[in-house]
Order: sequence, then C-alpha cells, then structure tokens
Amino acid sequence: MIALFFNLVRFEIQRLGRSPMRLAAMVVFLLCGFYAISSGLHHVNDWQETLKELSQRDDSRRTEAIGWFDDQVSGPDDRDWIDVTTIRYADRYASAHAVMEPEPLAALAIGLSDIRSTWAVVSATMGAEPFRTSDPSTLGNAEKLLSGNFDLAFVLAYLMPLLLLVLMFDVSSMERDLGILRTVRTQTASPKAWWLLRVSLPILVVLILVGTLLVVGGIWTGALEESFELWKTFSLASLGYVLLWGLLYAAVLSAGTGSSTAALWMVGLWISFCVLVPAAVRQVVSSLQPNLYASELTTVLRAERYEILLGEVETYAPGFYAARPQISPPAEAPDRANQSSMDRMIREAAFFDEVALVSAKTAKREAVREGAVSLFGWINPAYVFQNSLCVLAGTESVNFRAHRNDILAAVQKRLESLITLQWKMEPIEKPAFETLFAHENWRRHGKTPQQTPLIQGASLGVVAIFMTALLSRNKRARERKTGVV
Amino acid sequence: MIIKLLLMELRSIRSDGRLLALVALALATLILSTWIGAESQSRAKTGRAAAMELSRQQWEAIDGLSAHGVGHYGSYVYKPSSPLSTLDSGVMPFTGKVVRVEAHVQNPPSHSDAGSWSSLIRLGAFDAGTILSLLVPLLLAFSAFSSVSRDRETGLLRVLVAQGVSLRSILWGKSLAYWFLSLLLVGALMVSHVVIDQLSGEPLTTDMKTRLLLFGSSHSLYLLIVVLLSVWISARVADSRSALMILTIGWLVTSVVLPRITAEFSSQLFPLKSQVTFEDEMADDRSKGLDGHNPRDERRNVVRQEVLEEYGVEKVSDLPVNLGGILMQKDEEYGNQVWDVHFGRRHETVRKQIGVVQAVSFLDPFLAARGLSMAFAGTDQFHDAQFQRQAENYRRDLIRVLNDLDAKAGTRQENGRWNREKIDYATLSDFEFKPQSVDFALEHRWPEAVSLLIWLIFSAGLLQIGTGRIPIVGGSR
Repeated sequence: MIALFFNLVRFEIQRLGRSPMRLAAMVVFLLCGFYAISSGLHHVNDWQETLKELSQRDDSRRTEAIGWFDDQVSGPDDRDWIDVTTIRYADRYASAHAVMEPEPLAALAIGLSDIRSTWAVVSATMGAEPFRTSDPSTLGNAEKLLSGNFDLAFVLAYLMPLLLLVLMFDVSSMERDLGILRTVRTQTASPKAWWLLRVSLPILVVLILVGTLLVVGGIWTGALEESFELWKTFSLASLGYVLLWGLLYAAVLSAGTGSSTAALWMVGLWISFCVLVPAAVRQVVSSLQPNLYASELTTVLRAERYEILLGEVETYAPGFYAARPQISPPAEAPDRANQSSMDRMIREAAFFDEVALVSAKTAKREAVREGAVSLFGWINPAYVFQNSLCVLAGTESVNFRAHRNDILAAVQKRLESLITLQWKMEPIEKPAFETLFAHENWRRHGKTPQQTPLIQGASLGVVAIFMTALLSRNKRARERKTGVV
Repeated sequence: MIIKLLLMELRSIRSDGRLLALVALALATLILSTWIGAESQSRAKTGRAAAMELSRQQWEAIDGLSAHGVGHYGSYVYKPSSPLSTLDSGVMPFTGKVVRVEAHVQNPPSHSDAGSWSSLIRLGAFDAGTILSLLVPLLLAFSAFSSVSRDRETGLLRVLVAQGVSLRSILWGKSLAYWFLSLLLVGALMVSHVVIDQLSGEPLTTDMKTRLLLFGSSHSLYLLIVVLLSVWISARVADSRSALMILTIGWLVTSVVLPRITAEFSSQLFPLKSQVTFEDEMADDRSKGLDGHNPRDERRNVVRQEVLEEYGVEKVSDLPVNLGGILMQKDEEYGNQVWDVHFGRRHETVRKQIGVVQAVSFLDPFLAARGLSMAFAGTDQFHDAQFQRQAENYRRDLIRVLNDLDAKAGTRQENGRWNREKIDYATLSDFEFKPQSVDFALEHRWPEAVSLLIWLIFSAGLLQIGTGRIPIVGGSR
C-alpha cells in the first residue's frame, strides 16, 4: 500500500510536470488567491480610512464644544443660537458614531461590506439614525457591485472547484480513454486502493494550495494573530469545502465514463452549484418574499414622525413616564425653554419606539427570507460556504443586523442620558457633556455560524459518498455484463 | 456547400440526445426565468402603486404646516422598473428604489434590494440576460468543443477534405449549425416575452420593441462569436479533451474572473472619495461657499439687501412678501449648485470607471455583451443615473414652488407680521418618470457595440483565413 502510494505520487508528479495546463492552472489559482487577498486588504484599508475620518469628525466636534465649555461660553460667536448646554446642541456636538469595525478576516470575505453602510450617527434628536445609514451602493458604481467581489471567499467558493476539476477530470478516465485501464487493474494489487489514492492525490494538492492561501491570508491580514479562533474555523470550513467537492467529483469519476464525459458532468455540477442553484433560489425566494418599496418604514420616517412632532404631547407623556419610573413630571411648571425641550424629548422617545418597532419588523422579514433561502441550503453548497465565511468575517447580513441593533442601543442610551440631563432642568456642564461620548459604539461582528451549514455540507458529502458507492457498483455490474472496461 | 454541411451538422446534433436535453433545459430555463420575472415585476408594479397611493394620501392629509414646513415634510419618489428588466435586472438590485424628496437635503435613493438581502444577491440573477451571456455560451462551448476534433479523431474530417470540401466550409457549416441552436433560444425568449406582455394587457411600445430587438440581436451576435471561437479552437487543438479544457478556462476567465478584476481595477484606478469626505465637503461648501470665501450668512445678507432694494423698503417688516421664503429658495439654489458640482464629479468618476470596463470589453466580449444587455433592458448605471437626475429635478421644482408659496401666499399685517394663506397642497403633482429612448442606450454603449463587431470580424477572420495550420489528421484517443 505504501509502495503503491509512493509510486502514484511519483506518477502524479511526472504527469503534472508534463502537463503545462495543470501547472498553469495551479499557478493561476495561487496568483488569483494572492490578488484576492490583496484586493480584500485594499477594501478593508478603505473601510478603516473611513473610520479614521469618522473619528476625526467626532474629535473635531467634541474639541470645539469642549473649547466653549473651557471658555465659559455656550457656543461660537458667529452663531449665537447654538447653546451647547442645552440637550439639542449637546446631542449634536457630543458627536458619536455606532461603527462596524472590520474583522481582520473581512479582507478575506468582503461579503456585503461594500454594499451596506458600516456606520451611523448616534443622535437622539436628528431622526431615525438606524435607517439614516446611507446607501453606499447608490453613491458608488453599481456596475462594480454587479460584477462582484474578487476576494478569497470567491476564489475558494468558485475557483477552487474548477482547479479541482482540472486536476481530477481524467483521473482513471484517462486510462479508460487510452484503453489501458484493464492493464492497470491487473498490474495493481488492489484496484480499489489504486483508484482511491489516485482520486485523493489531486484533492491533497488542492488542500495544500488552499492551506497555503489561508496561512498567507491569515498572516497578511493579521487574522492569525488577532482572531485565531475565527481564522481556524474559517480554515477548517475551507478545507472541508475542498473535501466536499473532492467527494462530488469522485462520485462523477466512479461512474466510469471517458474523460470528456466526466469533465462535462463535473462542469455541470459546478454550474449547478455555483451559478444556477444560487440564482434560481434567489429568484424563487425574492418572488415569494418580495422586497417592495419599504412603505412601512417610509411612513414611520415621515408621516408618523410628523404626527408625533406636531401632535399633543399629552398623548405621549403617560407612556413616556410609565416606561421611565425613575423620572416624574416636574412639580412646578418649568420655564418655556425647558418645557419645550422636555416636550421634544417626550416626542423623540415616542418616535424612537416607532423606529425600534419598524426596525424589529424589518429584521424579522429579513430573517424569514434568509430562512427560506436556508431551506435550499442542502443543494446550495457554494452559497452556504460563502455565507459561513462572511459570517465569520462579520460581513454577512446577520452581522449587519447585529450592527443595526447596536445603533439602536446606542441611540437609546443617548436618548435616556439626554432625558436624565433634561429632567434635571439645569444647563449641561462639561463633565455631563463628556459622558455623552460614551455612547459611541465601535465593534467587530464576526462570529461562528450556526451548525446548520456544517450539517448541510456534511449531508451533501454523505450523499456524494453514497453516489460513489452506487455508481461504482453499477459500473462493475456493467463491466461484468459487457466485458468492456 | 456550407448549407449542406450545416444541415448535416444539425442532423448530427438532433441525434445527440445529451445535447438536445441541454438545449431543452436552456430553453425551459429561459422561459421560466421570463415568466418568474414577469410575475415579480407585476408584484413590484402593484407594490409601487400602493406605496405611491399611501404616500399621496399622507401628502394630501398635511394640515397646519407652512409651505416651507411642507418642504421639510417632503415627498417620496419611487423608481419604476423598466418593462424589459424581467430580461436583465442589471444594476437595479444594487441601487435604491425610493428617494425622500425634501428641502435643503438631496437624499440619494435608498432601500435597495441588496440592502435587505444576504450575500446571495451577489451570486448572479436568474434572468435571461445572465442565462444568455453566461450559461448559453458555456452550453455552446460544451456542444462545439468536439465538433471538429471528433471528426478528426474518427477520420471523417480527412474523408471530407479528400472529397474536395474546403476546411473553411466545414468550419462555417458547423458554426452556423450551432448558432442556429442559439438563435432558437433567443427567438423563443423574445416571442415568450412579447406573448407575456400581450397577455398582461400592457403591450410593448415601439421603443421597447426596438430595445427588445436590439437585446436579442446583441446576444445573438455574442453567441455567434462564442460559436466561431469554439469551433475554431476545436479545429486548431490536437484533441477534444484539450479543446474542452481551453474553452472551459476561456469561459471562466472572460465571464467570471476578468469582469471582477476589471471592476476592482477600475475602482482603484479612479477611486471615489469616501462617503464621509464626500458628505463633509458638501456640507462645507454649502456653509462656507463653493469658493470658500462666501459663507452662508454673507450670502443671506446680500439677498436680504437686494430684496429690500427691489421693493424699495428699508425694513423686512415692510416687505409685501415673506423674506424667509425668498431666502430659503436662494439657499436652495446655492445648494443645487453645490450638488451639481459634487455629484457631477462623482458621476464623472463613475463614468471613468465604466469607461475602463468598456475599454477592457475590447479584450473580453462578455463585458461588451453584458453592457449592451443591461443598456437595452434599461437597467444599467446610465439609466439609473437618469432616475436620480429626474428625481433631483422634481425635488428642485417642488421645493421652488413651495418656497414661492411661502414667500408670496400671504399678506403682511399692520403689525409687520406675515400672515400665511391656507394652501391646498393636493394640487401639487407627483413625480412622473420619463423613460429614456433607445438612442440614449446606444449613445452611452457604443464602445461595447464596436467591441462586439470587432470580435465578430476577428472570429470570422479566424475561420476565414486561419485554417492554414489546422491539422486534418490527428491521433485518436
């Protein structure tokens, strides 16, 4: 067995040496991988640059306001209406953002991070900030988004199966094409072991290449150092995915066809799993769960907001106080400015409740749609794999939902702080102003995906093994019947 | 002779059950995608109508707001989908569908499909454009990879040449046979689309029919290029297996890898400013002035002085108009200039990025076919930019009318206070999108059209003059 293994390794090395196309495919794959990592890093650098700009924006505003406190003035000389000791302007000048920071792995799996916004302003008086996150796709080049990312996740999910195809399509089928399979079988102690080893060697080569890319990616992005556990899961998932495709191709080879037919079947599998099934699932699910014109949200942002802002404050006051037992209506009638600010905060609180409600509904709708997509996960391995990598890298929709929750939580904290300050009915002092900075929320969102993708991938692998056994049996029966190998 | 060879190849194709099954599958997929697309579009249309109706009701229910307050309340503009977007959704899933139109602020479209989907949205669409430009070429390559090499391996090619049939005629006959298959697919798709439109009670306009025709023609042209190259490679390469590998790798590079790399490269060559910088610069220009020396307060004082002089009064309280409305409109006009400068730059950068892709389409006909497909379906970046432009124009008109009402709809009381009239805002009309004609698509996508023609000449030239080194006899495997 060991001798057979070494003989086969020597044979495969010779075959590779004599096949420039295979060697070229491996080199091109590695180059694509390196380019993908560098391209992903470029994207993450841009992302971090944006965060730096946000940080500078925050610093600049805060410093300006702190300067007014230090100079014991309420605002700039040329804009006398600005009074940073009131909640409205304190909210504006205690500038803070809820930010989705990139995981190091985000450079390897960009996911939706170039489509969705990764930051939002934390403010309790400037409208529905969780939904004010601008749409980078609309401000950018949508044709670029249409073309898709060239990140390592793409290379692994889509190009790796093709490399495996190039290396595997004529394993044993070449011998069949050349008419020497019978000779090979008679000269080999165990034809089964010969077949298994020949099928395993290309898989091993691809595992080594993928492993190289993962290690290089891990070092280059810093993931190996900063988030080893996530990188480990990322790597294991990638290696598992290689094995899955190896099993699928082995099933094709076990049917015992010629190399052209085997290649056709393999390409057919690739197209089905990497192009047709994902596109069809998207079409079917979007037809069943259409994403229309967000009327619910637009109604809250405009009609309901105005209804609350222009309505009678008494309508919202009971609910406001009931939800905040620590404060109570002022015993004495406050002055006009304070009364106006208190009314404003009662209204903003009522509006925030509406925003939280619609946000929850939107998140639920998204989750239901993803649940529908997940039902097809058993036959959608490329998407399931890509999705898992993006979840680990913190760039998938589930991570963005967590980010939106963070924004909501940050805005709510800001709202409650401002309410507490307002109900003291005193001008805001510098220390109180500085406490508002704490509402910024900068966080990474990478996490280990649920078990479902693993189960779905493993199930497909089991099906592939079963098919391999079944097709091998059929092949042997056919060979016995016809005598043709 | 070419016709005879074409018929012979078609007979051979007819006898290949595997190939017929693939063609039937492609046909079914195309028709299914058109049908599902039409269903989705019908739902989207109903959804848009409902959203517009709701928005209108909310608009008409406005009570107690000044004209400028109504400007802040704003309106919503909903992007309609092109009737041919069922054939190619293009960039539409990635761009916003709703624009909040309000005073002082130029909001970009929001609520894109991509904004509420998982990364599945990146894995391609199941529409006719994708199927025709991505899958059918692969199907044709799979069908044609052994068209000549198989004949060479079986010795048929030698027999045909020995009988005096020119190699050129053989290659043309085979190519036209495979192209005929693809024409069947494209033709069936177009007929099914027209039928579905007729059944839905909304027949296509002349412009849409022209677009549909050009959509089908551009795809047919691309498929002809694919067929010619596939047949030539099958003839030029020693054996079927190598031909299959070359065609598969060629497809992968041109249809999957190069488009992504080109998109990345174009954005690195002509980078867009980050959103934060973009917003901050716009805000700066709006408050400090485009030249940095004409701040908002100074601009307001100049306008104030001009209005006072125009009406020959010394105090604002003596003006027969509401100065606030005039100031708001002047500020709005200044904001429009700022928007034009900044968005103009941004659109110019995007245009340059697309220009890079158009240049690369001379190396990769897939990019040319995809660009034309989106353009004729009315779903490319240029068409989308028109929606943004029209929405912005509507915003400017609406806010100007509201500011005019704010300035003039009222009377000055004796105590100098401005007394506003009650205004019926229901008389203000909703946004109406004016679709672009097919000329617009051709005007912006001529590089892709030229690229396809050059590719056609090149691939036809290969068959016409590149047959010299094609082996007639080859080793059988």
